[in-house]
Amino acid sequence: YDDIYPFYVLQRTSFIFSGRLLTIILVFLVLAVSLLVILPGIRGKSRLFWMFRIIISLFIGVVIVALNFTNDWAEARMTANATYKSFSNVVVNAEIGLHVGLYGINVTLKGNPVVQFNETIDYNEMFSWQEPMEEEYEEALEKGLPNPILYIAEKFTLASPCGLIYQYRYSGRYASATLWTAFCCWLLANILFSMPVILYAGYMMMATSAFIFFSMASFSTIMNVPQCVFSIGTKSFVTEYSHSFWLALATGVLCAIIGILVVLFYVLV
Amino acid sequence: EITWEVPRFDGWYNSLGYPKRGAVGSHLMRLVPAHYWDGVYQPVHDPLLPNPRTLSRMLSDGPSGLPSTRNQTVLSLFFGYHVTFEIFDSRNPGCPPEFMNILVPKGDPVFDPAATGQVLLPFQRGPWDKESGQSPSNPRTQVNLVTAWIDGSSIYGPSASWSDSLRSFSGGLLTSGSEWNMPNQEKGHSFMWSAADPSTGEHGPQGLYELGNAWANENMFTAAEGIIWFRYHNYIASKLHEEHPEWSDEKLFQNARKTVVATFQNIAVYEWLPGYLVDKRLSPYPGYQKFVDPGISPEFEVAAIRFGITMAPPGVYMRNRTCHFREVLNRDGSSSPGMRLCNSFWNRQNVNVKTGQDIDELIMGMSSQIAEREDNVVVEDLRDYMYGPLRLTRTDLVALTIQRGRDFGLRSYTDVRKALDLPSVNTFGDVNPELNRTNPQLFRDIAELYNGDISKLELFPGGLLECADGPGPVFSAIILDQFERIRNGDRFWFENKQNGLFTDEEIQIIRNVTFHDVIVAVTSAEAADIQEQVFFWKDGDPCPQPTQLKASVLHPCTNATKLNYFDGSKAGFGIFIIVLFLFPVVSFLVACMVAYFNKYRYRKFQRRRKAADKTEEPAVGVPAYEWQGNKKHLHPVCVDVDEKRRLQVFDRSGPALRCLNIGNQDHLDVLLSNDCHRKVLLLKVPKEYDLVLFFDDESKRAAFVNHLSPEGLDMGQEIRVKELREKELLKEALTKEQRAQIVETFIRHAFSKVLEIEKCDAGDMSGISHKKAREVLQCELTASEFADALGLKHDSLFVDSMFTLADKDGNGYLSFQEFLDVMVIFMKGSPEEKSRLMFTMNDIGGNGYLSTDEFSRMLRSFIEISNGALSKSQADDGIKAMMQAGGFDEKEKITWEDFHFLLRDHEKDLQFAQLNVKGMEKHGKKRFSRDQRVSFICPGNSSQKSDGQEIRRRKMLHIKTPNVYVKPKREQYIRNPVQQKVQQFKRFIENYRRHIVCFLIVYGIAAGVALERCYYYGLQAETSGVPETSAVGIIVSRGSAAAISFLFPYMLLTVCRNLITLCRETFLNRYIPFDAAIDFHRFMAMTAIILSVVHSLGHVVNIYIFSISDLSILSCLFPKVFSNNGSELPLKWSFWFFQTVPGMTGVLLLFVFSFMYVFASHYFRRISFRAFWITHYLYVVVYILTVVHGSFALLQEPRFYIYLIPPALLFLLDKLISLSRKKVEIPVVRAELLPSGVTHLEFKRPQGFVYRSGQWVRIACLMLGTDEYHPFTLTSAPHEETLSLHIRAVGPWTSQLRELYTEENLLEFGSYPKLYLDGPFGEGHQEWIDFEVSVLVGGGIGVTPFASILKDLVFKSSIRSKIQCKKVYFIWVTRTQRQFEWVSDIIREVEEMDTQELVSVHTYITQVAEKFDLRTTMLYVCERHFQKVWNRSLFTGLRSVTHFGRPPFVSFFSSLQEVHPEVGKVGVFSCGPPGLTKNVEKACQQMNKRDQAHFIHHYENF
Ligand SMILES: Cc1cc2nc3c(=O)[nH]c(=O)nc-3n(C[C@H](O)[C@H](O)[C@H](O)COP(=O)(O)OP(=O)(O)OC[C@H]3O[C@@H](n4cnc5c(N)ncnc54)[C@H](O)[C@@H]3O)c2cc1C
Ligand SMILES: NC(=O)C1=CN([C@@H]2O[C@H](COP(=O)(O)OP(=O)(O)OC[C@H]3O[C@@H](n4cnc5c(N)ncnc54)[C@H](OP(=O)(O)O)[C@@H]3O)[C@@H](O)[C@H]2O)C=CC1
Ligand code: HEM
Ligand code: HEM
Ligand SMILES: [Ca+2]
Ligand SMILES: [Ca+2]
Ligand code: NA
Ligand code: NA
Repeated sequence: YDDIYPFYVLQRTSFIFSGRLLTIILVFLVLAVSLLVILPGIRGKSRLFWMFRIIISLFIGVVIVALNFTNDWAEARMTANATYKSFSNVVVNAEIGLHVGLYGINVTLKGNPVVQFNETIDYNEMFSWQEPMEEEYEEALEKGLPNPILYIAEKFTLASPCGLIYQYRYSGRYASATLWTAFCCWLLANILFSMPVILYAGYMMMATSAFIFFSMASFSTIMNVPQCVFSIGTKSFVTEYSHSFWLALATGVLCAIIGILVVLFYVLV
Repeated sequence: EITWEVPRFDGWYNSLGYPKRGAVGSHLMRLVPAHYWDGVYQPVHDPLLPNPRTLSRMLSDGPSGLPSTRNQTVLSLFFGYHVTFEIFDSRNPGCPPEFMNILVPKGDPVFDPAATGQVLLPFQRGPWDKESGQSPSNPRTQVNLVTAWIDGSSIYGPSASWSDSLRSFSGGLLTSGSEWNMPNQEKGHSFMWSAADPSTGEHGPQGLYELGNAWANENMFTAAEGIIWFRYHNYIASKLHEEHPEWSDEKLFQNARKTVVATFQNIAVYEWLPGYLVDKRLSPYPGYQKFVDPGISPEFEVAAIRFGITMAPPGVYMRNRTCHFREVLNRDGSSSPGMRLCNSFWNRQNVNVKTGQDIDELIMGMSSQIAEREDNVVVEDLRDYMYGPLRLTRTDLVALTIQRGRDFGLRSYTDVRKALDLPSVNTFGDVNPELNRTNPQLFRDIAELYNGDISKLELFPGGLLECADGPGPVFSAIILDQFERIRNGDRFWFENKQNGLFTDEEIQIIRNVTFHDVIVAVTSAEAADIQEQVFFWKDGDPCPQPTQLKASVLHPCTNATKLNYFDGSKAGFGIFIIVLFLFPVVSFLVACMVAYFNKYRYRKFQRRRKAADKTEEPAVGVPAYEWQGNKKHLHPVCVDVDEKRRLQVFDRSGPALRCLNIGNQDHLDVLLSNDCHRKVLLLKVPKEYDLVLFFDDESKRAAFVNHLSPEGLDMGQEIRVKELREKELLKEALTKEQRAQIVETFIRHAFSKVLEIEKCDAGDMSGISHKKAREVLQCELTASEFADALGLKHDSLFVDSMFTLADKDGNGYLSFQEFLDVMVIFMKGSPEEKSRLMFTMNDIGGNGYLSTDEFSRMLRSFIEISNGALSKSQADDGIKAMMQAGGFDEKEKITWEDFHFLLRDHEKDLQFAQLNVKGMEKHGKKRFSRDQRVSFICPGNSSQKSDGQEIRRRKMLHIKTPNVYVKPKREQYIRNPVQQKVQQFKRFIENYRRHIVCFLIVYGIAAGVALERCYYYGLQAETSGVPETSAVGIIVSRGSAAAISFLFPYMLLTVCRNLITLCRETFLNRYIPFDAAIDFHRFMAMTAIILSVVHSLGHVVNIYIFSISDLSILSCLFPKVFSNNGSELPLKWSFWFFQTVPGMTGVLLLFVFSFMYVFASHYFRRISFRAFWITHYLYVVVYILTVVHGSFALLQEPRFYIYLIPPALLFLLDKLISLSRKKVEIPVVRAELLPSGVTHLEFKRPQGFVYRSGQWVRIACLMLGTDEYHPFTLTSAPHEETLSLHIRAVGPWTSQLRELYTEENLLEFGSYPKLYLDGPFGEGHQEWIDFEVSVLVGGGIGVTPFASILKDLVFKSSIRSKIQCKKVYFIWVTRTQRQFEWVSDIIREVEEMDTQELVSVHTYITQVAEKFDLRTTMLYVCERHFQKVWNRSLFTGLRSVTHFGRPPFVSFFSSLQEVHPEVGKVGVFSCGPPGLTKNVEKACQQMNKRDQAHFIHHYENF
């Protein structure tokens, strides 16, 4: 080093991509690869069939697990001029996002442009409601997060007149519980598929889809709470279902179709 | 855009250095250290300090109507009150709830007029920081729930979302309600504090104004203050909007807010405060002081600022602009000059203040009204009629304030004085010398309460005493300090030029705004309508008040009411609990219905069958129904009396059931019923059970009675008719069962005479009444009973002749003596006597000769007893051959001598049975030979051997020299009941060691997890507050829930049939009693269900307590579910049961359990296995519901599913194994119901089914559910074409199976139900092939594997396959032979095939005396007397030797060494109860210690 100490860059730790989500996808990818590697051993048309089967099944599995950890079941976003921080009167133009998952919310703040006033404005903060939200909010305050993030997080505290948290917590909780049940059904269906009891596998597939739908139904109860105003600067936003929700719907429908086909096949043949 | 930093609503980041300063949730800041009883958090209480209520009455009693000395207005008072809400709020109760209720002194005129001495003024401690109050250096510190800054938190709320919910988001305005100048009123959802109105009892959020101050609705006057500021914001915003129409809502709002807050700061600190304090002045603004903390001091919050309560008036004037003082309407329609304070708390619909105009008038009234005097007197509205919780709607504010001081740990008055550097006071009088002069008694009284110790005098009483014209020096100093810090530390203070909020001019403008200006701006009042300085009213100001308001001219305060939250719920709650307890009853009724329906269907089916059969001739005689006992069905019969005066009872389908000779009785006893349609008849039959008939109607009965009576008078038979009530008649009847009992006792006694069995073993006579005993001795046996006793058929010839012989007096019955005589001869008589007996028995003519007919009849009778499998012609042929051989064929008569001679003769060359056999052989019917063995009666001296046998016998004699030692150990039968119990207990422990250990482990874990929870909730979970609320209920319910959470899931393991089958093959079987899995299942289920009930009862207690605990408690306990909004009223019990997840699912679970439980009971399982199985599948529901049950996480995060996952996975795996098993239906070829509940099934051998002898299979019966497999040992040998099982009915499944294979069912279904087969399993005791000598020991049901093994062995030896085996000893240990009669068939078969004497069988019957039954006893007797000579068992006809007692394994083994000295290795295979196999093991070990033959033991336990 020649007497010069390296300069350790202190990165601000912010939420980029869920580590868990990454792990899940990796695990399933490894599974998929290892299963696909044995494909060449299968001959003829059934090779294609098996490939489809493996890919579709793994796809359903990974989706079900991943949906538990994604943060975009419902989302709201807007671009607004917002007061940015304390001890300063600066107003930044930024895209502010609220991303609702099953275990908590993510609040994002991304400057427009990212760098303003020599500051990198790119935040993605996770607030989990598994721990008391009050404490998380207090921590955020102590941490001194930008105003818009605090503003949104505060709406999810117990003391907030909005009372969102009561509904969100239980909706997410039951949605995730039913999703895990769906995952168990999916596992069972796969086991049953490899046994000479295809009919049961069909039923299990239908059960999987049913539980995915239950999960969606549970999550959708968040829309029942009286709308709480999210107003930053001169704009306000409302949450709407987002990718994960629609992905769940698609997967549920896919499972239902597979289940019905299998059962029909069994009944007719 | 906004160019200045917008202050946050929650006070954060105001302070530069310490962002939390002054924020929501920040600490109070003590001026002097805390003073707690324990130095940490416990308040100083009663004996050390005076009772707060006593003190309050002493201190602040006095008349109302004294005006403020400085003419402060009521407006000043309520403005000040509003300022306090702006800067502190610690009124929400703290969590966990802690109470410091104030005991009202007995006989208090307001609260305890009845002098009960039990009235408590509720007091709940305030909120504190959980991290404080744990140790002395950090005693409890209270927190402030609003911002300490004067930043408009009372106008906009203490958080951004609060302000958002007040905003309209247009034009920068706050939302207004019905009128533009009135705030919104709450509808459903509420964030305003909403206590109940003590004067009307109204509660709920409806009608409360939504303002920034959560407590705004506490009284009308504070609400009016709030409304003024609400209007002022909208006023400013509108003005700004007019000036800057281009501004956005946000900009308008923030600008208006900035101005409003600044105005508020200015008025509060520079206008109101100086007036409130008498002579103290705030120092001029020094500029922002960044190190100053605005923290509210507890001394300020709970003492100094509360000085204001002395100024509160009993009522408030309203006036209009023209000085017209309004007559205020009271609730009862009357009117008063002012609004009564005590009736203005928490008003929802106040008739006087509805519109914006009313608010204006109220404000104007307040500005004209002079407040109460600044002295120690507090008006009764606050002292006796302050609002309280619904439990007691009035309370004492002064007492509460004193108590709050103790809650907050305030130091005493003198300590605070010292800390404030004020001159110290030494006597009570010194506190206020002026007042002491006018009212010395007051000081004397107070001094007395504090025991004259001035250092104990508390801050609030001290401060109140001290005041004169205004707050005294202590209070003033505290108040001044507080406001100074708030002002100086506030970065957003309007005068702070650094914050960029205002320009100098703007500051100046704001400095000049007075509250007068604000009021004028927002009310209809014009500038001249109210005085300039609204906080004082000076002479000359507009509209003087008519008089100083007195309590006496106002409407009286409504009295306190008490509310028991549970009132009105008691009945519902009680009924609900009763309904819960009725669940099992409901399911019991349903089960009964199912049972009834089953029976009904069965009967219908029978009737249909009958109808089909009916084509035959109608039965003769009178149709009736025979009654055979209370619990039995009426049996349809026909009765008829024939010409021989024999009464015959026929089954409707034909066969005769009973035949009674009524001709030979001199009178007939007939009982008739005289009620219930008079259709019952009882015919007493002496020495037999009574005939009880139900007729269709009375006429039929009369006809029958007629029929009974003899035709001619000459018969001289009298009929004695007696009439009785039906019930008594049935009670009178001697039923078949009762009779059978008597007979049994009879026989036992007969035997006990002849055998050396002691009388007391024969049957307990002590318990039987004297009358019964006599009955027994007088009892006489009928022929059929005699046959039953011998285990023979009723119409067998042997029984017939034997009976006739014994029945010396020929009355058709055997008396005790007659029976005894025969037995004695059989057992003790000489051979001659015996042959004589046989002879006479068959000498029907009684002429001393046997005719040829009679002789052949005798032979036939023997053939019959032995098996009766011969056709008549075969039997005849056989008899003829025998007669020829005996040389009798030409003789007409056979004398006894001939007979005896014959028998003796045969000693040499012929043998009775052998004769038979020979004859058969002649006719080439060899295959019947085994059925021919006659082995019963055998003259003692005539035991003969055939040639073959002779040889064999000689052989045996030859090798007899060293004989095997087989003499049984017959331990003395223990008679002492205590010893017996001990013995039983020892045996129990011995056999059930594994069970006991496993049981202890399972229940130990259950108890462990339960205790862990109990401990947690009992001792650790203090902070949650739950245990304090419902200690016992919580501990019980959580503890049991934990045990349930373990038991239910792990119960699944006990029904993993496939895994159990796999495991019992491994070494684990030595430690875990897999066969008892279902028993474990039952135990665990029962325990879990009982615990569920306990758990539910625990929760019933909890729910009761929850429904009497107010919301502030509940919101502490369940912060995730309830938020405390002051509305107190707890949720009703029904909410908990029907509207919470655990409640609903819990009730459902109880319902499900009651069904599972009732249908799983032994009784109903037998009646309807299907119903049991169907209801049992509710287990799926149970698991789902239980998972859902905990999912709400009301008390704790759910755990059940964690317990469930591992066993559920295993269970699933097990189910998958079941699913994947290939299922082939196998038809049953033959089913036989053998005695002792054994069913013999023979079924097709599936293709490619290969097994070894001794292996077992698992079968499921299609009719009994396809999933339930039970293990059974194959009793067929591998060479046989079919497979066979012997299944003993011991439990539900096996009993059901036996039921299924009855003839009736065969008819019903047309063919035998099919089976599923799985297996074979087990090693099979195959190694016997490798030993020259093997010993097979079977105990009890453990004999089954040997059935197969023996057959196989003999077969292999007969076809001379290569086996090493030279000799096999088979030892069969059984309690009573009767238990396993079917085994003797197998052994007989083996003996039959065993031509090479390979197998030597020894039967050990272990319990002769203990399990006393005739056949075993007969066997015992006969074996003892005849075995030696006859070499065959009398009853079984087996060659095997029967012993009585337990086998002496050690001696047996050692004698084996002598018998087979050349053998180096002996194989020992045992199977049976653990005790037995253990004894064998021990014996082997003992033998192996000696350096001789090695005994290698293999065993299997059932
Ligand atoms: C290897 C083996 C071989 C057997 N061979 C025979 C035989 O040849 N003839 C015969 O009559 N009996 C035999 N049994 C016993 C027989 O399996 C049980 O009596 C029968 O399963 C009882 O079922 P149940 O529902 O009628 O009685 P339950 O009242 O349910 O049980 C009575 C007793 O039988 C045992 N048992 C019940 N179900 C099972 C099961 N599925 N697996 C193992 N044990 C169970 C229990 O320990 C219980 O104590 C054998 C048992 C085993 C383990
Ligand atoms: N699952 C288990 O482990 C056991 C279950 N049972 C239950 O009892 C019923 C009868 O069972 P079963 O199979 O007929 O067995 P038993 O209990 O009737 O025993 C069979 C024979 O073995 C003898 N015996 C028992 N222990 C010893 C010993 N230590 N040394 C020498 N002989 C011994 C008994 O003699 P004696 O009469 O002197 O005892 C009996 O004659 C069954 O229905 C079963 O449910 C019984 C035992 C164990
Ligand atoms: C009163 C209590 C209960 C009794 C007497 C009882 C009895 C039985 C019996 C006898 C069997 C097996 C049938 C057989 O092999 O003979 C069985 C099976 C079973 N029981 Fe119970 N049980 C009780 C309660 C419960 C409860 C409360 C549950 C679960 C919540 C449960 C779950 C099961 C399961 C899962 C099976 C296996 C079913 C199968 O194999 O498909 N039992 N029970
Ligand atoms: C009316 C009757 C019942 C009431 C009111 C009731 C109430 C409750 C409550 C309040 C809890 C705490 C759940 C939580 O923290 O959210 C609980 C837990 C539990 N209860 Fe009940 N219960 C009832 C009946 C039953 C029954 C019949 C069972 C039998 C299976 C049962 C088994 C359990 C178990 C296993 C838990 C622990 C759940 C877990 O940790 O996941 N309860 N019950
Ligand atoms: Ca006063
Ligand atoms: Ca007689
Ligand atoms: Na404030
Ligand atoms: Na404030």
